[in-house]
Amino acid sequence: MSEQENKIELVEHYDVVVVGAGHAGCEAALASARMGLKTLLITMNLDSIALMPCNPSMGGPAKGNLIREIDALGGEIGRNTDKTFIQIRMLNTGKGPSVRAMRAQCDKHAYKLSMKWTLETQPNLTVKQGAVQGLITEAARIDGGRSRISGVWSGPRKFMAKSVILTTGTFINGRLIVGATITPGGRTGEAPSLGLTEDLQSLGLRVLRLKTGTPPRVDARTIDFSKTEIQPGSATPLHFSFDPVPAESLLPPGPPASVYPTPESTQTAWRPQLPCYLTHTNEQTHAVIRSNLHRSPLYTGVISGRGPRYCPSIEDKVVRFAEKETHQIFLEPEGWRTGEVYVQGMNTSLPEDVQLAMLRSIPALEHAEIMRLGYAVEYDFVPPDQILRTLETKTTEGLFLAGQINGTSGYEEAAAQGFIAGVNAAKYARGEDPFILQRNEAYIGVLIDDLTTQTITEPYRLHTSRAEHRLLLRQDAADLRLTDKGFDLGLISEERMEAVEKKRYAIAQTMEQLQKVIFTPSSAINSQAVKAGLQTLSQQMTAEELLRRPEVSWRQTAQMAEAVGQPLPEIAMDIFEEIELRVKFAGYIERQERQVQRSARLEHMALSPDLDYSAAPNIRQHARQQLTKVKPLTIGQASRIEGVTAADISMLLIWLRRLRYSQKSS
Amino acid sequence: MPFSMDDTITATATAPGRGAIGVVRISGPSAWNIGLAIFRSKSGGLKRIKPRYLYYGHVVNPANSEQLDEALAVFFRGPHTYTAEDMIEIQSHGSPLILRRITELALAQGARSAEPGEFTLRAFLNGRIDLAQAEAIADLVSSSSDAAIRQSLHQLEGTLSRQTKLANDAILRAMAPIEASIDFPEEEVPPVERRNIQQLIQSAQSIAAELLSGAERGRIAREGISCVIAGRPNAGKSSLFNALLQMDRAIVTAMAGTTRDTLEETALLGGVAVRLTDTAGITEIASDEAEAIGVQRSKTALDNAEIAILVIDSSLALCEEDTTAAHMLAEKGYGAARRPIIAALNKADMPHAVTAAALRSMLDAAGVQPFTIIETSAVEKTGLRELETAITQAALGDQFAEHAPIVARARHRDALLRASEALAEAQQTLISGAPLDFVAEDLREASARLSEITGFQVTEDLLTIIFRDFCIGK
Repeated sequence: MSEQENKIELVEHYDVVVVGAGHAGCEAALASARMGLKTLLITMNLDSIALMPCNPSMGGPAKGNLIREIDALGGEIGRNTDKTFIQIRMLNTGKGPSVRAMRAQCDKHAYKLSMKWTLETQPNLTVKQGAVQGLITEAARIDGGRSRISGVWSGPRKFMAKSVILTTGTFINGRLIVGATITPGGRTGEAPSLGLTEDLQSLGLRVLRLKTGTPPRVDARTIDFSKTEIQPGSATPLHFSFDPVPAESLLPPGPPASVYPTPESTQTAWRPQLPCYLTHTNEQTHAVIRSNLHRSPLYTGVISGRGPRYCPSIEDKVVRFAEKETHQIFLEPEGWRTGEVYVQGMNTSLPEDVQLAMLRSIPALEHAEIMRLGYAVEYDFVPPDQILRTLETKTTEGLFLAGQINGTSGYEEAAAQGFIAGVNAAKYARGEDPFILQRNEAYIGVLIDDLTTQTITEPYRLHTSRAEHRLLLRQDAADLRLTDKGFDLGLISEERMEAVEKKRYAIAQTMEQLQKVIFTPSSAINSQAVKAGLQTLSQQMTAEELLRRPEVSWRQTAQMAEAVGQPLPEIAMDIFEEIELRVKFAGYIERQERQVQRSARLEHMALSPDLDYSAAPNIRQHARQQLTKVKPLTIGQASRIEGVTAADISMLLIWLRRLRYSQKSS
Repeated sequence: MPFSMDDTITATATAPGRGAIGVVRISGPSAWNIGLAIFRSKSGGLKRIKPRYLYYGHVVNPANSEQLDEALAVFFRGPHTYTAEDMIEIQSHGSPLILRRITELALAQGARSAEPGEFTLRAFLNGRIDLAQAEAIADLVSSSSDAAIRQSLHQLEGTLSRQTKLANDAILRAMAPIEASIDFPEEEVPPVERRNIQQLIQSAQSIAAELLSGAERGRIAREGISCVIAGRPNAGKSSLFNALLQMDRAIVTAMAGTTRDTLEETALLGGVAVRLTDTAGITEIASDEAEAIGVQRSKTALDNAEIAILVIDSSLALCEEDTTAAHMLAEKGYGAARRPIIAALNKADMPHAVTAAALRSMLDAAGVQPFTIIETSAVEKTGLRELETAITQAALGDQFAEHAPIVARARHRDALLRASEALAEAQQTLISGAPLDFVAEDLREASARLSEITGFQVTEDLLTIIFRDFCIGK
């Protein structure tokens, strides 16, 4: 009797269970709980919530856009970064408005604590420590339906739920590799998660392996910073979040660790920041690596999986780009007050003695002591052609996957998927229609569409070049694009929605005003023009036409308008940048919008997942296999599958037309 | 076309008609079994056949062991064959009857008769050839003129695919440094050199332009060209029409106005299919209703044709009707580069009343520049070869004989046009000093259009170049 009672007490009921509390898990749990669902976040180690196991940076090209998009939809990563960054910069300022990118260096410890506190104070959300060992499922119905998830278990405990989100990172069957040493583990110092792969496979999911790696961390006290080049943070205020009030800083109070030089020139009044420090490898470093290649697991065959091309190990770089005499190395403090320094560019799985020797061949690191070794990690992932765009598995209802388990890399990519999985798990639990972002709406849409249509052979990282509508996906306008959607989901407050409405209104007003203000050439006007640093006017023109000229800035246009007694509205910096862009590059933006419209019909034309492609004539064999494997849900998706050509799509359309015709006539 | 991909197909692979040698091809999963059943090697059994070896023997009817013909056979193992399937080719004497009987034997053994172009289709579906090549072969199968065949062969060799890929490579190489510098701002990516990019775009542009210049010729070579034969009544249009067709199609009499309707026939002239239209005499006053209709049709034919042959009776002095005909052609826009006129001084076998100079000045007055003036005699068949050459030259220009690739498909031409537009915009954007991301947009557009021809994937190919050429990684 008492034993039975005990068992009953060990069963808990939730709407949504999120397994894993990395960047994907945190966003998933918060989105679900904020949508009002009873949510559990369960992680193997409460002290590793929102850990940044690789470099301490957030954002950059495409990734920064993801952060701003998640923020605009009501996610947490932007705010949490703002609260904990020790440096922020705007990259690509000279390369065009659509590719500007914010990137921050975070205090890793503060980041974790800050996110943990946000989770712990979130209503509807329970946070627990525990190693999930298996899934609880209902088998597929005999009539060919899908199996269904009903919970997860950990030892004697059962957590029942309508939907389950797995965000297991590199933990499932993870093993860490340094030289010839192989240790089971998800991250350094943490045990792997075992057992889930078998459950996933029994649901009919294919599981494969990927590899990634991380560089050593060195002790700041053993670095000669005088032999490095200092890279300061932004002199002007920058934040990821669109929240109107600048986020509070959750960094430890007081000045940063004194070991880091912060010369006058790097000090920024708006917020104290820490610089990064640049140094380089040299011939000696490369010689050390070359003479030890036979001990690299990459070359001895211990690691068979292909690592990411965009993040090669230093041994790969030295071999593949043998002609390069030097590679740059960024020394990035891992926090406001920690001596651990991340050696960006030294990603390696060479044995400890080689790691030390190659570091010490660099003048600034001559006396370097390693605090944590670099290592490679191999782990299981579920090739994402097995998930829908909601991130629900095709095999099992209510089971969602997000983050590295889908073959991606990067905190931002994980957070984006976590958010989408959280929203859709909540919607599934409530029986609502799914939430899907299109490629022309958000980088998140590009990311998920790529995952569900491409064959993943290396950890997937988002690049801006993967987006065909880059001009429409600018990071500075993420709020204009997506806040409405976040509001509809119930994840954006009314105040914030109102602020975006106001911004939109201000833009529309100003655009209208620009067409109304007219400059007629006269000596008075032209002397104003000269004063504003412009050429004299030879014909009558509107303020919009003036601003359209490549050399004319918003400020100059406003100055001229003021001079003719028709001042333009006072607007904030982010608004005039948006207006400048809309005016100057109207033609390009319109072209992309036209492209989106033109392809919209085919893009969204639905394909049944039950189509039997083997019956479709004239499609090439390879394309047929790919279509059968991926089962795309729209023609747009089908056209992006690797190995499916325009000709295959035409044949597919002809076949579908004929199918419909024969159905109608019979 | 409800083709099945899983059965074995057979057909005669050589051109129809009586040749010295004929080839029967069998392709599919049971190709070898069928081949072994109907072919017996001279040197005995074929227990251990080696692929790609030529075996000498006989085609045999397995039902009664009757020997049909001496033959050579080659066995091929997929996927290294034209169709990527198992295949066998039997070479016999070229008699259509023998070839038909061999095919029938294969059919009796379970093969299916191949549809036209089905071997190629299988090659395409199995990924042996790309779309442009497959379409080129499809053109070859259905082409009706020499020029079309030559062109198909060129395309078959993959010239179009190769050239398109070349242009795209240049575009991707222009994009790679831009994209690398955008996506990896802190990596040691060499700075973007606008001049290099300009040059790469230029080389893509010139390839596209060259392909496009072949597009018009390609269309003509494939679809042929239409040519009206115009002139006053009884100038000898129908005789010339017949002479060109080398057959008596139109009713020719010495009475003016015999041809009351337009007659259309296609002739293979200088390798180009020319649709010749014989028009009713264009007279000012039609003598009856039927003739009036004929005149109206002549005018419609004039509206639609691309080349005109103005036939002048050289045995009679130029008269007002000749001038009327010349004016009518001028009105329709003939006599300029786009719609050339060839003037034929016909009836050259009779005493001359008109000189080329007189004709030229008459045409001049009518505002017409003839492409050339040729003396012809439909009766004695002189000047016909010159006329034929003039027609092909007027249609295709002199370069036609060169081995330039020709873009025949409207789809390809359209893609090339749009790619060229995007490249031109990229140049402008580059010169205007606009930010690099806008240049990248134009280049992406150009590459996407080209990919419609050969079907490569812009993003993946681009990333491959970036990661190959630049050392990127944190």
